[in-house]
Amino acid sequence: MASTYRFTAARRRRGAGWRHALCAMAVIAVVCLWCGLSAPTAQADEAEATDKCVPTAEFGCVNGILQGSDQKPIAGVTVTLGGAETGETTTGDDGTWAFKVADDGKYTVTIPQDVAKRYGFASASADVEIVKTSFSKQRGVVRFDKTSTSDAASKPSAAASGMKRPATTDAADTSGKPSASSATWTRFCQQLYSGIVFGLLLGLMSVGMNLVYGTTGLSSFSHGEQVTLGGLMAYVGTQMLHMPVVLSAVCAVAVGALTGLVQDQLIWGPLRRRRVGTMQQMIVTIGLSMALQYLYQFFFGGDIKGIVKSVPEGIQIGPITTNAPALICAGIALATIVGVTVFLYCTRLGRATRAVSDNAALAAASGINVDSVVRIVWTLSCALAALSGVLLGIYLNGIAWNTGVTLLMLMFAAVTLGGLGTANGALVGALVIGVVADLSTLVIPSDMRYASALAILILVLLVRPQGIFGKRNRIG
Amino acid sequence: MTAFVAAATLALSGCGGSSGASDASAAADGNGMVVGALLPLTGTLAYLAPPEVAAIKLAVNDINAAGGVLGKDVTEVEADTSDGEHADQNTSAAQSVLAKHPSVVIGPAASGVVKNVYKSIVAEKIPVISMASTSMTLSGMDPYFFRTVAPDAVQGAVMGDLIAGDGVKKLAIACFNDEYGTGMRDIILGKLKLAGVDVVYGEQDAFDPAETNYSSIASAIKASGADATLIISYDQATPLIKSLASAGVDTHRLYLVDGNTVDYSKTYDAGLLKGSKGTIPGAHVDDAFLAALKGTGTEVSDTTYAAETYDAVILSALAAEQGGSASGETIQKNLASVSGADGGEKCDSFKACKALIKDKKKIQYSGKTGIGAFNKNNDPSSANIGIYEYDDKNVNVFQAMQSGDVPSE
Repeated sequence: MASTYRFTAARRRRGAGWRHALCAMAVIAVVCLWCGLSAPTAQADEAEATDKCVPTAEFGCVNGILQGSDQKPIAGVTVTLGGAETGETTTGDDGTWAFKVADDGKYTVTIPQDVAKRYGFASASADVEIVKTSFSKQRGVVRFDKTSTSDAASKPSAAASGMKRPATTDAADTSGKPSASSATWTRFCQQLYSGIVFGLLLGLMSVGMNLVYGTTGLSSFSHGEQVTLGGLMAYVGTQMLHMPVVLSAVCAVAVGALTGLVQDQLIWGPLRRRRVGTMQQMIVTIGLSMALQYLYQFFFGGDIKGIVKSVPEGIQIGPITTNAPALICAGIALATIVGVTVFLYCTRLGRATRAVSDNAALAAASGINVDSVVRIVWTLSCALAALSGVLLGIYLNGIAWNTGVTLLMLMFAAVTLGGLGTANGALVGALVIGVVADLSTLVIPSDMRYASALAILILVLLVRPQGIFGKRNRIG
Repeated sequence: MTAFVAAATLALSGCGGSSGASDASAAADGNGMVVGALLPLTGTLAYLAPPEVAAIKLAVNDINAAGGVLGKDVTEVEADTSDGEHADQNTSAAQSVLAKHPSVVIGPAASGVVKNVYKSIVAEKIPVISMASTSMTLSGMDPYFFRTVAPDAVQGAVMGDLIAGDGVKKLAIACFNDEYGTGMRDIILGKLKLAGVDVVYGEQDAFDPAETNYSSIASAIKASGADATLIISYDQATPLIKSLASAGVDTHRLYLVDGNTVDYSKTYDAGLLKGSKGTIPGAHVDDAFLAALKGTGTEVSDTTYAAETYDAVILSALAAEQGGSASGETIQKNLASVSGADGGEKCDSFKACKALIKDKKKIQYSGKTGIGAFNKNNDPSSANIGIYEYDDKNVNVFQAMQSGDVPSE
């Protein structure tokens, strides 16, 4: 028996030294026979120590990793197995140890008391049950650094003064407490930041939709697909045609603008001339939205497409961790929205757009070509959507056939919150939704976060039915 | 008992009557066996479809090359179920397949979709064999519902051990709010509790399957101070992993499950996932099988659930062959038997098994998945879980296989 113990320990140390091990085994077998020990019975009770153990039909595994509370592996510690089979091994350089056991039953794993004390473990032994054929019991993982009992464990270890481990864990404990509140603060800043970035992108998405609503009174449900189109075109550019990101983005926006122009020529223009009501037109946008979604899926498949493959280097700005692409996306979104605002307020065409938005009939009477203004608005709206799709695909690390439609309701919410048909409403509404949604994850589960943003929408509408920037409708 | 039933069915069909089956299944109109397939050709699981499509084609080709079932060629009809979010598409796909009078229906892939459609199919006494639905609630759901993949309990146990054995102390779980996701999470949580792994994020939190913005989840995981992250999702993992990387979470200590353990070499920069681990149920299929799948003309890059799909088709064809009829009822009665539930001679291909059946021998089909015979819940009685590790090219490399019995309680 003792000789076999030595053998297992030797094998553990040698690791890959299979041939040596085999030789040793042969020698031991001969020695055992010569001694008159009955080898078969000794083997039946012997658990085999191995480097790695994978349960099979013949063998179950009792294995684990021995590490301190700081996750540093503890090497060279003797681990003893008792129970249905017995064995002994030492932990490897990475702290791992494993036994192959052939018998089902209860096992006890023990490490030396002084090791357990030194590292502040609650217990130096643990029990596991092995049932070879049961997935849940064919492997028994034993850890002595159980975190659930670490509080209880740290106290007696602290009492055992003179040890260097408890001192370090104490220091970690005391420094841990003040950092808890600073962690919350960091988390708050991080969420606020990601809320603002998402808000800016959502704002950029919604601006075009709001322009269309303002000039034509149409709530476009297919706007989400225009966003998806932008992202997918950028994917085509970067991943299929291997163009630089910027060039791909420009092409994507151009394609987006073109689809806006073509759409107005082929669908919305004729529908307007035939005096189809906005409700009917809205139903057309819903149909178009579905058709486009499945068209995208047909051509691009159902998976999420990454526009860029690389993972950008993180940048630390105060408490916020971010990266260059996120900052650039947010910057472009903000600049574009500002640009659109300037266009609407400071250019002749922009003023004409606002005039059409206020009162199309009056604008037409005062000599504005309403039809060409609407065409420009559709083109601009789809171009903005495409741009936001590109930025979104980069910021959210991927674009799929249904990305746009999942964000559509948020766009509507942003537009309604900010004020339907107003120029800056979409931006402000989107920022509110983005920030509220992300900050609410500090207190509510993340899959419910948009509910909080939509609750804000209801509250705001109760107080200001026209939205934050909307004008109260005059009667008469 | 089974032999008696088989004999009785043989006798019945031998009498020349248009069989006792009440359903209008294929055998009745004498057109040979029809395999209906409900596959996620679109939707969030569409990335799983190509290997499944190829596996069905391959199985049907193999069967027909061996002379077909009961002397007639097997034909295949398929319909797109989309995902669980498109319930209308689920049911219309089931109806379109049912209209072709299938002898058996292979699929659907997702547990949620199975629940949406199985009733209308089993009501016509047509067996449903799912190749990828792993929810525990499907065990023993209906005598006509089978699956060739082990329920989540099995994979969850293996994953729990893997995480504990790697010495993870603080684990964050990013899990999507779906039956598969939360079910799997709860099993893993049970295992982790025993081993003393602390779950610092995600014990309750789950994200919306339609989530697009993962930055807040990523920053929450970063803030939780976890030293490893478990991701339970479908391909939501693609943007999520990048968000985690951007937030500064260690992407070399990720744990992935079958829904997202795929080859990421074309998705990310080399080295991003090196050292991360994943589990996939089912045997690790050999290159010859992959080559055969590619030979069907379908573009296949991985083999996830291909073996399960292939075996489902072969098992149902053997059940028809043994029962002497391609009716749904006959197949249902013989499925457990041909899978080896009451022993028999082992055979590993349709051709070999069919020859044994011809010799009136009992068979035990041991197919590509390495699953055991169907148990009383119509789950595989034993199964394999493969453990994979990502290399520096972000390819999941097979490490080890763990096998055991599937709990039938």
